[in-house]
Amino acid sequence: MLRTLLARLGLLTVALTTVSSAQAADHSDPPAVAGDAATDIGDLFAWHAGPQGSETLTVVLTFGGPVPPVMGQQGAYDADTLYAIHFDRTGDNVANDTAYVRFAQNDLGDWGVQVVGLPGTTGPVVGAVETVLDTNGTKVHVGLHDDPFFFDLVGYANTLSTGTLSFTGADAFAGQNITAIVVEVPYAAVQQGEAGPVNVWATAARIGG
Amino acid sequence: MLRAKRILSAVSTSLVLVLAACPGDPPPQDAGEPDPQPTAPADAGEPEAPADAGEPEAPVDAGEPEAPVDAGEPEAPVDAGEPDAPADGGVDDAGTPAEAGDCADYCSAIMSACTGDDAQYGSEAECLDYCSNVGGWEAGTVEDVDGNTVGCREYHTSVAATTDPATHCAHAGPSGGNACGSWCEVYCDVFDSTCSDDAEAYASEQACLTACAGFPDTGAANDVEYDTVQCRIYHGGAPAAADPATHCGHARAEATMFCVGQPTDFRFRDDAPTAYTVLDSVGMPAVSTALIADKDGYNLAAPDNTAYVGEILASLNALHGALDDDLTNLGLTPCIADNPPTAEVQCHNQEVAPGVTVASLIIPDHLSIDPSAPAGFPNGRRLADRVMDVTLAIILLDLGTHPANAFFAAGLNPATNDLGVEGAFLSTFPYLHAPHAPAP
Repeated sequence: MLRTLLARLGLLTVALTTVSSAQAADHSDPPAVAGDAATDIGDLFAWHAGPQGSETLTVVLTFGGPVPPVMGQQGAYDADTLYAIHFDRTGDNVANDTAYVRFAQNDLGDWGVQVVGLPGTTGPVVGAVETVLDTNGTKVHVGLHDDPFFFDLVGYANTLSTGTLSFTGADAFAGQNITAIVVEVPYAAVQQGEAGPVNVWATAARIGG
Repeated sequence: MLRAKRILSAVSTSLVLVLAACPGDPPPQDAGEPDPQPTAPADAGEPEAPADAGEPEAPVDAGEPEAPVDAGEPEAPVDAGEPDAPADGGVDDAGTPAEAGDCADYCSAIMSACTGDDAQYGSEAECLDYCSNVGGWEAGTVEDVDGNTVGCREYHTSVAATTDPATHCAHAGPSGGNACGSWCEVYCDVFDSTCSDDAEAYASEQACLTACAGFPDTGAANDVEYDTVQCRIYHGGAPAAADPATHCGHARAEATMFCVGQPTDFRFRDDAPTAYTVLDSVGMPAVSTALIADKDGYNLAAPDNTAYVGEILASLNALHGALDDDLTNLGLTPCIADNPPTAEVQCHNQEVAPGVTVASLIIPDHLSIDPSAPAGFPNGRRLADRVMDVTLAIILLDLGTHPANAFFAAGLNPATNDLGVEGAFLSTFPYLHAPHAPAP
């Protein structure tokens, strides 16, 4: 994953500067989520689209990957993890809206998703995973997908380890899957009349701690 | 006092009839109504309430010898296995009165006819207790094919003995299976029998039937959970008789526990966000996280990373120290990342777009979307954006000399995702491609 990979850049860079050579042994980003697929965020995408005046804002948050495809594979759903997608429309880095995403099974063993606080909604959005949940144009989907990220991880790692540009253009993420949360809301529902940009970030948290 | 009233109501409407019709039954069946003075208001804490349910006299009946006699009774129309209309009159073809329903006969028969998965009671004693003290059933006659009566259950027991026990045992059991009484008749009779003192007891039978009409009937006989009339019949039966204070609530219209929800309901945690510990965060791709060693602390602080500016600049400086010679050899002009900066062209002060510096993209750590400008990294991030090439360019190159897409043609990284025509994503929500299938 992009963040995971670039974490290595940071670690290797730090190692180069001898700030903390001990950190160079770490292979996971961040250390607290090593082996915890559900809270290991991959990428965040957020973009606006549509004609002026009726733009939408789409956010994609990936986690639990990349993983190679296997038979019977399903998303990295975990009932004890809380995802938060934060929206700041006033430029103070404090979220004005936060969409909280949780997963859970029903008594039949099926996984569902719940999104609370999504701009443009007045109540929780709840439904099965791997479907599109459309509430008056505010859409939610979670599911296992092709990892949308593309990047020459090997070339990048070689560049860092050798100090020489060593890219080959190969896509280390080709053929890999990842779990994704996708939400799409009216931009106006996020902006709420504010004039400036909307800032978006996301976190993954585990119960307790 | 309430207990006494409750018992009286149940007994007066059904048990007395049962007993009157069954002179051979042992007197202990009457144990349910020991309170001759129902007006005594002071016995609220009277201990006999729980005692009734587990009344010990039931086992006395268990050994009754007449059970085998019933099993072979010939008058039940076992042939079709379906209700016969003529039976209702209480008078058979010969014009003689049909035999009245009898708990002892019924329980003996159903314990032998309905076993294993089809069993309706844990023991014959439980059956006798339910039939006599809990269900609020009228006696009826053994030719009843419907109605919430003992007799109807005897009839369906006789059918189950020879035909499709999976179906007919449910009819013969405590719930009546929507054959011996409608679901709601059975519910209202049993709730009135066991829970007439409940805080949410119904004002009348009609009030109960009206409320019950709103209960889903999607369950099965003897279900113990979910928001159904069947679940309420179960909890309002033997459990409520044993401990009404605890179990009547489960049988109410607004049930407390058990008879709530549906099996398709997802059981999400309802903990507050503060009950969770943030373990990972994401905002701007690559840059900020890339340049941080204390990732756990950084994630907790998201998106405010101002405390990490020094570390970010130091890491940036180290990266340039390793790669600037290669960039120069490629004919590219690196930006200067000295910390503190000593040259005018400082990487983090370069403008990626008018008024948008590299530093402003990194600090704080978030994606910023300005809808008045075209979408595309770093104005937000689309799925197909070549964020690695752009990121590398804006932290490595002199943007006064090179555009932010200077690396696009360099072939450093793949230009597109591996799926879709020329790497395109789907044009409609949710845009992402289906997962890859494993190789055959």
